[in-house]
Amino acid sequence: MYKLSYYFLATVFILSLILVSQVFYMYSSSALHVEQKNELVKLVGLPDLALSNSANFIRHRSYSDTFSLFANGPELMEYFPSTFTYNYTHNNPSKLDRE
Amino acid sequence: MNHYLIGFAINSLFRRGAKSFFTLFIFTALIFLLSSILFISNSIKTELFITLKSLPQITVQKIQAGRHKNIELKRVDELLKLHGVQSAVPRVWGYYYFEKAGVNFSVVGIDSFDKQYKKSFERVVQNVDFDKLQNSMVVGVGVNEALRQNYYKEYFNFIKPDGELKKVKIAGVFKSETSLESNDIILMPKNIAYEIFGMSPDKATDIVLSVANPREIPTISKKIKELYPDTRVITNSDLRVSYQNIFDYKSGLFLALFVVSVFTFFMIVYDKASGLSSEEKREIGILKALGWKIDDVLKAKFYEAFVVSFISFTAGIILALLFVYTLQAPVLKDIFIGYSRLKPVFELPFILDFQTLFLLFFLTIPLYIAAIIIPSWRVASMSADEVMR
Repeated sequence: MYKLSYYFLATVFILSLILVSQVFYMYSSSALHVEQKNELVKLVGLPDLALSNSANFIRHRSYSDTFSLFANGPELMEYFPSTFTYNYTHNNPSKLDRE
Repeated sequence: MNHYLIGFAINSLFRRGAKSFFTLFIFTALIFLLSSILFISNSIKTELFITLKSLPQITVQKIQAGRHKNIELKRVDELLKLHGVQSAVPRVWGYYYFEKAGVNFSVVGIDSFDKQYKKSFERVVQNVDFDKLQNSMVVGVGVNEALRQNYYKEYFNFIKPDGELKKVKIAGVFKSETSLESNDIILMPKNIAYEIFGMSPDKATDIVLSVANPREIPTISKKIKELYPDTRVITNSDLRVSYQNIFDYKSGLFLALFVVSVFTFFMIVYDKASGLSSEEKREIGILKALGWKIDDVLKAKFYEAFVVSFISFTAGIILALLFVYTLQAPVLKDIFIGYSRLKPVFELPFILDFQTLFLLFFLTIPLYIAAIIIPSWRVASMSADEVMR
């Protein structure tokens, strides 16, 4: 019966080994590029990440007022009916565009 | 440590095969979901805060009728007269809407491509020839992509407010390592930016101050406020606070997910704790009748709970690390990126957040073990014949 306890210890050991080697591998292979990023931000001077981009108050919303954060945060789905109707993209011009 | 007890515990887990497997599965899935979300948000948060120290110390913007307006250039001289102000630089930046792709570019003007920028340019721009940069622009990876799709490979025609076209050469692309910051940026000499925005040359978008002694920032910003009551003065600590706010807001979304999954987990635990099945009760009764002490029964139960929780915790973390940092979190990352058409391609930086790990560890494992041990103790402390009856 107590063979099973060795199996258990072996499983725990293998799992921990995988975890540790994974962490070590990720530490060694990942790079933050801190200096390059700081150099760029110093050059450009604008805050925030380019995480969202369809509205001018989103990209640099640290500079915009508090309310637009809640009304137009990138987490929200598009809710203006017009954004569904008129879609001025290159790929699918809307009907209104062609008329 | 008694090997036989551990063996017994594992054996009884196998005996209740489907049930233990199900618990293991749920537990692993919960740890996986929670830790991947926390890993992603932690990585992006780190990205935001990394560059905070390079941002301007004080930014002065003009507010008219509650809206941001261009500020007069002659205010720069007035601001420079304030004690402690090291430099005051007027900036030009704004958005250019590229209709064909439906995206906004962030256009930033800098004081022509001077020698002073040469070193930093070489570090952030892909194989650039600095001397050929005059009257051309440097674009982010995302901008380059969007322009290429519309057949602008070497130059781009900006449409000026008066309807004329302004042809600007693309001289370089920012390195993709910085794409999380530079994806939507177009960097060009100031005079071209003025032309494209149609701004009058005696104005600027905002003024950036640098202060020799960082402790003087609050005093100086107060003085600016008194000098020009129509301005908004943003210090870099304001930016830090607003970053924090953004993340508190974003984390709210994740708090919802977190609460749901923790609640599910509590349900399972509650189900366990509210009573043992009659089979488990009989098992404990038989063990006691065979001469096991309460102590031994509890130890066996503890090993059982520990095996399940420890294996699933480790497996959950391993899977989450793989999912987030190797596969780059395929579905979950989109929640953070938003619905933009100019999505930056970026790699989540690997940050091992021990706080998260400890939080998850102490939130789940002791709870689970307690939920197994307490009802077992209640049963085991009764007399054997009462339990078996």
